Amino acid sequence: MNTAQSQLQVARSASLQESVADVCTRIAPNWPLDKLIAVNPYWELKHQAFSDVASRLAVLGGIQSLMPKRFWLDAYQQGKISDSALQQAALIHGHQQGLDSLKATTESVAPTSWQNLSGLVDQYRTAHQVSWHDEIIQQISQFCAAFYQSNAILERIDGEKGQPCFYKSWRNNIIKDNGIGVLMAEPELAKSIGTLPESPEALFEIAMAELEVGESIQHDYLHALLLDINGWAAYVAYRRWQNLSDDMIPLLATRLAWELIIWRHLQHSDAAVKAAVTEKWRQEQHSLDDKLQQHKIHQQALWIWHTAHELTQQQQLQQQLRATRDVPEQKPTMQAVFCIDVRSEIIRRALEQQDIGIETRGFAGFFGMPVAYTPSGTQLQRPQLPGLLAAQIQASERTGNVTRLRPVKNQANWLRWSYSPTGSFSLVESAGWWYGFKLLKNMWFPGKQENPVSSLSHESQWQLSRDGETLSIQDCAELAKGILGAMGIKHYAERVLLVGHASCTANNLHAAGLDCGACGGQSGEVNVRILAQLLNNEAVRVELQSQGVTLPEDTHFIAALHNTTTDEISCFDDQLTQQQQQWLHKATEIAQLERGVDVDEKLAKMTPEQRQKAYQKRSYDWSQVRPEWGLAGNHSFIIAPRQRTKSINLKGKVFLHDYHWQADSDYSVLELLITAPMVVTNWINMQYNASVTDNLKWGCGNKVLHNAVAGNIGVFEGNGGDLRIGLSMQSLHDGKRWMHTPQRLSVYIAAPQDAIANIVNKHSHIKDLVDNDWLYLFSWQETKQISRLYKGDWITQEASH
Amino acid sequence: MQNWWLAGSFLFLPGVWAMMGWLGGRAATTHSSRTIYKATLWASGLALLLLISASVLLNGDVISASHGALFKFTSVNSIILPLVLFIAMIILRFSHNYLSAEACYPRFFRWMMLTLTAVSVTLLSNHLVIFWMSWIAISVSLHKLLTLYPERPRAILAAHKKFILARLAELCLVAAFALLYITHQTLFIDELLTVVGTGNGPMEHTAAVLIALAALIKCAQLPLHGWLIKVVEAPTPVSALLHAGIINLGGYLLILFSPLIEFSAYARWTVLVVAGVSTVLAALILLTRVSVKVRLAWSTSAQMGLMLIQCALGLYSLALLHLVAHSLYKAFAFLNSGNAVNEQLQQDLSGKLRAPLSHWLPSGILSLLLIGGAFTLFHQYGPVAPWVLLWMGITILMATSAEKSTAVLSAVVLTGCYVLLKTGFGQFFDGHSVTLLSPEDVFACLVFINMFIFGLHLRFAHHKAWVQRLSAALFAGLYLDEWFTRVTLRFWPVSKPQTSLAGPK
Repeated sequence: MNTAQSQLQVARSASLQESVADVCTRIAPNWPLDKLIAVNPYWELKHQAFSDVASRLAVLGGIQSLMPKRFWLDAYQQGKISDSALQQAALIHGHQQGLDSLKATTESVAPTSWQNLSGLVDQYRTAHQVSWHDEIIQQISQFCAAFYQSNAILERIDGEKGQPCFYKSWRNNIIKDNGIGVLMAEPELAKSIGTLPESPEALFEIAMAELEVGESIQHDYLHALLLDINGWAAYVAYRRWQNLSDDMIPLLATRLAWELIIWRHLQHSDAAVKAAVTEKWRQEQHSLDDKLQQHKIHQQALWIWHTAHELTQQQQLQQQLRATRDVPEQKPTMQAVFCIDVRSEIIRRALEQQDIGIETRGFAGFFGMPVAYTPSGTQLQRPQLPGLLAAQIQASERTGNVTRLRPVKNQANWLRWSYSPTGSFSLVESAGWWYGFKLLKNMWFPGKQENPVSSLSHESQWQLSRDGETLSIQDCAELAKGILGAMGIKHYAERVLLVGHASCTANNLHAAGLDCGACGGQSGEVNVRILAQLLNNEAVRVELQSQGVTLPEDTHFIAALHNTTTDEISCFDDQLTQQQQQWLHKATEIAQLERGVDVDEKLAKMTPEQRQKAYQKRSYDWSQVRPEWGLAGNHSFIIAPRQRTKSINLKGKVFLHDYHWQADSDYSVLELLITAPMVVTNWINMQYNASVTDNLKWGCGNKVLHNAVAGNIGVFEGNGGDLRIGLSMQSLHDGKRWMHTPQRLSVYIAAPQDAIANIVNKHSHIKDLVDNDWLYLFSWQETKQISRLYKGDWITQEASH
Repeated sequence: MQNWWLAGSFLFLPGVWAMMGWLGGRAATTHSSRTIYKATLWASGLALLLLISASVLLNGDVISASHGALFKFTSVNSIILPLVLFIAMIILRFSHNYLSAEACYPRFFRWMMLTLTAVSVTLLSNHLVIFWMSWIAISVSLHKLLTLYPERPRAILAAHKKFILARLAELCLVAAFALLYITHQTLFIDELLTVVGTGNGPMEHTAAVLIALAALIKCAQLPLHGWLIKVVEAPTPVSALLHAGIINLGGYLLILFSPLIEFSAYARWTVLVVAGVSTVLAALILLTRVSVKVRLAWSTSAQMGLMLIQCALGLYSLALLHLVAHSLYKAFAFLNSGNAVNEQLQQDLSGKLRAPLSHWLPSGILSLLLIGGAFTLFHQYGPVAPWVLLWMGITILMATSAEKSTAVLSAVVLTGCYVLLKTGFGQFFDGHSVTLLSPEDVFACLVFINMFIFGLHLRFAHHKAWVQRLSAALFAGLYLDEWFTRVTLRFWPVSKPQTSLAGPK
């Protein structure tokens, strides 16, 4: 009997550990503000079908993954959803009641979500008391910020490995905190807090047993707890992603500890409530499966609408793709390589209009340079590559100017002084008046506000090193060779522009989110400058030649930067002819006009000069919360030669990467494109979708309430609460309408179907994305035929009539 | 009769603000709200001109009742009113882009303008009843600004806290005014101020202490400071308005009633002790805050504390200087709070702060020489405490500077500015400050020295056990606000935050 029981306990304990470990892998990372890149918040759930994930998250965290019905009905009335697509979508989702029930304006009420224990206890607290949920989130959130902030506020208790231990430090802090009992009007609370187990492992065992959590629901329960503090969990996931620390299990433990605290506290404070909650808690556990089913049923109609909209949009684009005429290739007079970013599409189209000899290409915006930028003379390291990759090369500018860091240091000093007790008073009395002038200047005579790190990077001479050793010419040539291979230019023009991009905004906590995501949320300037230096270097060219890559002697590479806020292109080189400069200028004018429709209605009525000034003013304005629309509206990604898309207007909503499968004999480039840029575009696309469908959980709310946390870890909305991730409302909504409609990315690849399918099958995470409905993957043949790859089969897309 | 025309120009400012507020609140279209916003900017500028010219022509007094002026343009007004106008125009302009797409913008505009109207009436009023009514109007209008997002429970709770304390301050004020009226039989402030101290001692002392309490509450001094910290829930421009404008009312109150405060040692000591303790604690607590706006809010509480200490020391001109300079500084700091990431990057670029002991001694001596020199040359009367504070402030600046030359240069320039401004503002008031090394002076010095010592320990000696205990207590805000939250909720419940999240709009 005893052995059987202990065996059962061991098995139970093993399954619990497994659940804990598994749940802790389910939160996608969120990068800090200074390195903000888009992340698919569902990324760690991609091994499940999207519809299953959506219903489970709706139950466990009250998270909306779909727009409400009224949103789709509006879209339907505006003609954005066709009847045939609706029919098709209904078929896909097994809907048999006819379309009329779908179009009925009654919104079915969403079923109730799962309640954690603290949520159930809150139902017995009156409006005269602070709710447990509010206080739990506040307490954990404030602790996290203090724990991860660079200068220590709280005592950090070391764990076994000498690193500060999250759980122990938290426990130490909360035991000494006498304020919570006062706030909650529960004077005995300290007793329950004082008896908390000392390690996370013990806590999981004890809490799950004491709370009588059934083994079948322990996984979901733990997941719900983690989702409750999702913002910080996402930051912790980021730290794990970067190998800084792994505190996910301790974080989950702190959230569970609170459940235990409340439960124990209830035991000796209020027997009546305890009995009622015990009963409710049992029911809650019991009804979890039912709730899941209810949510599935509720979401079915929403899925149909969602899919119908995607199908409509796909039909429209596919019609365009079928009707394209290939523009014949010819010897280009100027080439410009842009980032795949959707914002490049407008300016590329505008530039191509200028002259038949202008060729533009799409390429990952970090230009294949796996670098981290370290401004010389500092310890700072800024990765300039996608979050999926790790930097291999250190880049520093070669500069003789030793005093250039002085202003930065002085400003940093001044700021520190402004926060020091005593110093802050002297500052106000001696120099407070100066801020009057600063107010005047920022308000009426604003100038460009630059990221202080980027401001150091305007240098043309760069030094590259790997593990402390300067890169040799061979290394440089090898690097260049790989990049040129992926770029796949056949005929080089005399001038090849390498155009990185950056946004220009002021007073914007989320500025990095508008910068080049492929460069890790930074300006692409460093990458293009380095690549241009490499490719123009004589010695590198000689070495390249010996490796079989010949660059024409008269070809010169020019680093340039596309300002996505104003659509201006600045070149870091004077090797352009008057006419070429004129082309760039004209392209800016056209792009500014085209984009103006969404930016500000007044722009359309202005002269080009006025418009240019207005854009510039906008980008300098410190009170502007909608400087640009970023990647809002993105819906597709086309991997194909530009000649095939050159004749169509893609309205700045499509990612474009150049690719010639004929030149890619072993499909290694294709593999790279599918496993890297395609994943990045999925991250961007899903970030936009998720931030729209649930701005509370996946988005960061209202910019006018934002409050930066611990330097640049993230933002609170208002004075506290959970850390907020994702995009702000101001990036998605213009006050009247959504600027982005949630739709999953459609990827079109001009390559043989076998090659595509092989690569998808080879990489399980790609297969997950394709087969679990996280994106649509199409092949686009030379014959214009478009087929979708889904669960191993190719489904030919019929042309709509 | 002929005065009415001029009186009209005098009251053009509050009038035009009230009208624009009313119109702006009704504006249905973006176009009309833009027109109103522009008209407001121009009208405000015009109003200032009218105000100044009218005050020159009328020698300050406007709209006389049978025995006195209902409104008055004092020398303090000549500094504060332009400041209010400047801050108002900056915030209006800022909000126009920042908030105009928000559904609450018309409401924001209306209540912002009405708040400003009430502020300007308060500043101009020379009559206790008008003063008190407009004083109430300020906080009632502000309440509307703090509840622009009624769906946010935390914002509502914070606004409720503020509401309750504002009423408390108003009660103090009305009681004080009643006592003053009973003693001196006049409702005109200028008349009152010439006769304070001549009446019934206990009544006047009580009135003075009540006014001091009203000022302490308005300036968010501990332990009734919690509302100020929590209302960073409001949109950034509202915070800027509050921290650069409304919060100063407590200081203005003491400056206005300075003869009364000077008369009553009870009131002085009340202010000195409460504000002294608040200043130290708030300045230290701000070191333990994790978010930029909350840090700024604690900083305001500390800065207001210093301003009140200066009032208690009788340094009203310095308090006025502090008020103006802090308003400008804090307005900028709040509006610029979106720049926090760049500021952090500047810190990261400049590397870890190193301030070894070897920096401190020469810095301390150099700044002592500098400020000692300034003291000898320019100090005419009054307490030494402000100089001690400056000495410690400059010492910190020099010791933590990256480069010696910058450190010395900035120390000299800043001390120069300080002396210039202090002397300049000194023209506005006759000196009735406490004497050198009086008990008040010594107390203030002790406050500043404590702040200096504990502040340095928190920054540079965090490994010590007692510092960690102190840090943890400060991190918890010394548990001061929790009680008040409970009291607020008891009187005024807030519907519980929804755990199931609302869908998109």
